Amino acid sequence: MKLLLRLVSQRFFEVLRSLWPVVVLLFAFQWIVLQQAIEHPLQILAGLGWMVLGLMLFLEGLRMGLMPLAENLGALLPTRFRLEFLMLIAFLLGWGATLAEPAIASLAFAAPPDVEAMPGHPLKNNLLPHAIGCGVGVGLALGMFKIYKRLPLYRIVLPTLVLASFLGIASQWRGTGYLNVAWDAGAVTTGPVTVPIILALGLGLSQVMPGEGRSGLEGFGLVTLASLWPIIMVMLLGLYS
Amino acid sequence: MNAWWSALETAVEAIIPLVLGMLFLQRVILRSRVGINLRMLIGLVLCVLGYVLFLKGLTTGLMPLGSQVGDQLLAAVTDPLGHVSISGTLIIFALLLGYGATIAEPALAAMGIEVEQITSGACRRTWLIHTVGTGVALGVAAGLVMTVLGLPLWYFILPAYSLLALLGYMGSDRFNNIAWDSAGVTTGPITVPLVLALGLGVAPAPLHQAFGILALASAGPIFTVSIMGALIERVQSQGGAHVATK
Repeated sequence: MKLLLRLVSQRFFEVLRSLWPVVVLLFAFQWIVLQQAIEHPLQILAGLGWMVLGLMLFLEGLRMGLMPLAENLGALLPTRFRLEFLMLIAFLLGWGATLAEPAIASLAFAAPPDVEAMPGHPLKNNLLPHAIGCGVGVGLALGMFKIYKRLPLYRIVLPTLVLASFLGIASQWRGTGYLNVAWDAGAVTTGPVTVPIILALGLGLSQVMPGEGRSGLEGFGLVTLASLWPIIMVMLLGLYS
Repeated sequence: MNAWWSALETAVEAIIPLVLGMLFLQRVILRSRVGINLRMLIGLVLCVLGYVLFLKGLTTGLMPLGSQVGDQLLAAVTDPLGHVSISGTLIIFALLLGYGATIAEPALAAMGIEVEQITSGACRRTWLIHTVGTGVALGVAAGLVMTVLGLPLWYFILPAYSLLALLGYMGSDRFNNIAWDSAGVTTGPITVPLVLALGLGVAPAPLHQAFGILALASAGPIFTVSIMGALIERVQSQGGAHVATK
């Protein structure tokens, strides 16, 4: 219990530290520069309080509940299975982790109030979170491939970018309305649930790889692929719906 | 009460499948004994509870605040005839917001330490944090300008990523990895909803234009960190040559 209290207080300040600069900026900007009152200030402050509390509990819960599992999986899986199976598991884990990401939920709440009046708006598509999750999964599987084959990041990022550009041109041309949401999706995905799982898998695989000393870069590059592929998947979803 | 229930439902639907999947892998496929214990169960309950409170706070606190400021911002840059023009205030606000939302991000601090180790001190952790902060600031500024003026995202993304591809081609694998990954760690659970809400506030109709700011906010740090990496390697190689000639 003592441990819990200490951890919770640490988390509390961690969350508070990352929240206060933007909140102070928004309030100050609204009052001093724009000279406007903030509507429902108490409700907003209460909401921010809930958010700090919630994020703190969530992060601590992740550390206690989910991370031991992820670390164990990351360390054990590469010792038991071949690359193909490992890529499949990476795909599924990436998918699942994305759906548990709090920022994905915020995407649903970012729907404008009159979204009901707009047929075909991407945020009304129930498949959107799954397209993003699928993208993270593909990116992660490719990342496993990259580590296994010791490819430089650029060799995978460049074809990915070319593909994304073609789909982007197609989306723009067909006017799907998915282009902006798709490119935002890349930023939405990589948060407190996905990143530790990604790193655990990457580190686990690179530890069983034979060869010379570590460059320290083993965990890197996976986050990039996991944030580029959702863009592609969401644009594909737009083109086929 | 209804809102709480639906938030609880969302939380359970989000977290439980992942946990069950991981447990299945652990117990059935790997036959590992590690798994369910009291600590883990407490952790999961905290996760679900935290998620519910986070959603509550998101919908009543951060997002209304973001969209209010966005609305006012749009009003401030629109003249009585309905023409929109970019003001210095808007740019400064965007720069400060991007910078402020980034530099305190815990994931970035962790990455800074790692990068300092990888580069054996050549890239100090504070350099990385401020370089990434600057990148996000530039990205948010470009994004707000785009949204307010209603420009297509494509005008920004295509040149930006072509340039990044070129920088990546010229750069070393070490800094490519660092630069491209730094884009991912910056946008956490506070920045994402805030920027989305702000975008919804400043966007004139049609509303899918409200999106795209985050995309540029992720491209920004790749750009700034690549440049920093190139500078560091240049200094290092010159330093090396200097030592060699001695």
